Amino acid sequence: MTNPSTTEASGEPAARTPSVIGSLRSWVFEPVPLARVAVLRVLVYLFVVYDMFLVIADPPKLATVSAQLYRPVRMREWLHLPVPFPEYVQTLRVVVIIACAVMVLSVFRRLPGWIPLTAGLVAAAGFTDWASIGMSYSKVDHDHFALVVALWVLPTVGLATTADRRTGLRSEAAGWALLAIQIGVVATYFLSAVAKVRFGGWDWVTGSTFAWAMTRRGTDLGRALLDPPWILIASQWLLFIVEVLSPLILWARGKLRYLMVAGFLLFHLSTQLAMSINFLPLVVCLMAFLPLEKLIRQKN
Amino acid sequence: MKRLSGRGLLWRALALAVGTLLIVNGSVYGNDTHWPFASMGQFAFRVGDNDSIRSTFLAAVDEDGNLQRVALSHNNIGIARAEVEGQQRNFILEPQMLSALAENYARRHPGSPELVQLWLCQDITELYKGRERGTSIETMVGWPANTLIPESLPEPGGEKVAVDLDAPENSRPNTDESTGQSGQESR
Repeated sequence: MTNPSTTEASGEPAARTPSVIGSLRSWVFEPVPLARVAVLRVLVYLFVVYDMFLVIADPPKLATVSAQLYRPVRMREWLHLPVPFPEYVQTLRVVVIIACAVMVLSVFRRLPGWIPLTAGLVAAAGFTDWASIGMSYSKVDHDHFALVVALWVLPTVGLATTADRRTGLRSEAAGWALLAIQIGVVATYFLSAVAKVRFGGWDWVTGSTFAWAMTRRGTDLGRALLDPPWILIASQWLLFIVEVLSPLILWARGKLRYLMVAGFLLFHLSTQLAMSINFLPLVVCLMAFLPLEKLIRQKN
Repeated sequence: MKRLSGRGLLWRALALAVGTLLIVNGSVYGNDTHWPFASMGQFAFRVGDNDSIRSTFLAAVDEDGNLQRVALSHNNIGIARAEVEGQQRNFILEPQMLSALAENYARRHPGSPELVQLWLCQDITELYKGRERGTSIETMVGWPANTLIPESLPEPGGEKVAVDLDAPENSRPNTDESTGQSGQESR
């Protein structure tokens, strides 16, 4: 947990002072319990299966619509991924489900290291393909960024099992992976504020964008918030301020950090109640801020 | 404690830096086509206090001559409202694209009468000082006949109604060139 003695290979320019490199290294590669990664893997890989049926559930339906509605994101073109057709998306989903099952199994049974690495990369590639199909019919959502990051970094940690709770074994690779997911979460919030200023202008907060949302898809509760207008304008201010301040959670520790996680969860709950949008993939990744290993009993 | 080798530290540090730059680029300069490094642009546009709120819907007459609203959902026509809105311009420029929606509908409702005339329309809510002042309906495009939506269109959730498309009041040409851009929300 203290700064490691060897810092030559940290990838930083040699001109920096060793103390800067050291503190950067101890932040980016802060050793965290492998058991935390084990629990997060169970949550993430089970959620991916849920996601393919209930969040980005549309690829099988999109695969049957006319190809003239297909507007591929650049990633699909660069990688020469095919125009979706039913057999392709159904096979893709089965492959990702199997890979996710292996990843969950690897938490409870000690498998050879190459198995979770391979399965994890298959799940990452397969789900990225799947999600990009959902984004290739002229509607792109930004709720999946942190989840896609999680899928690509979680396999790099190596073995992580429930047994690691007993030994309390910590790992720098685990710390890096969790930080990457956390940055993915914070990027989603903070860059939402950046996009609001970019597309909506600094006066986004005083506009009627939330009224637009509630009018188009508000629940009864959401529509009740339309009048008087100041309720939704105050909500816009609150959201914008929270998004701008969201990077603080990267440095917050202990109770403050948990309070911030609770605050974000409350925000996602309120959008679910007001307009049936919940950003669940982001909610799952918020768990990367919590000491999840405590869910495993110490003596198992 | 499990430490990383120098190489392990190096590629991870680089990957984190590159990934962070890519996602920041997405929101500062990028657009939707850069997914997964797209801009976090949902709800990022501004709607003014005196603007109108547009919401696209599909209306159709089936082969039995009944006029109805057709929900724009994956279950109903294979594609959702926001996705239709995302390429609404294409539908207006190439009205025959609506035939794809009719085909999707037929495939998903094998027992139902087929849709023979479709209109892409918008419910418009006018705001005044942030408050709803009135609502109206605008026809974006019709196919195969690009006419205005008949005024007997049922309310959302209402029953279908018989309509005579040959009647003069139901065959007025649609000359509106509005593209009705309505912003982006969520699936």
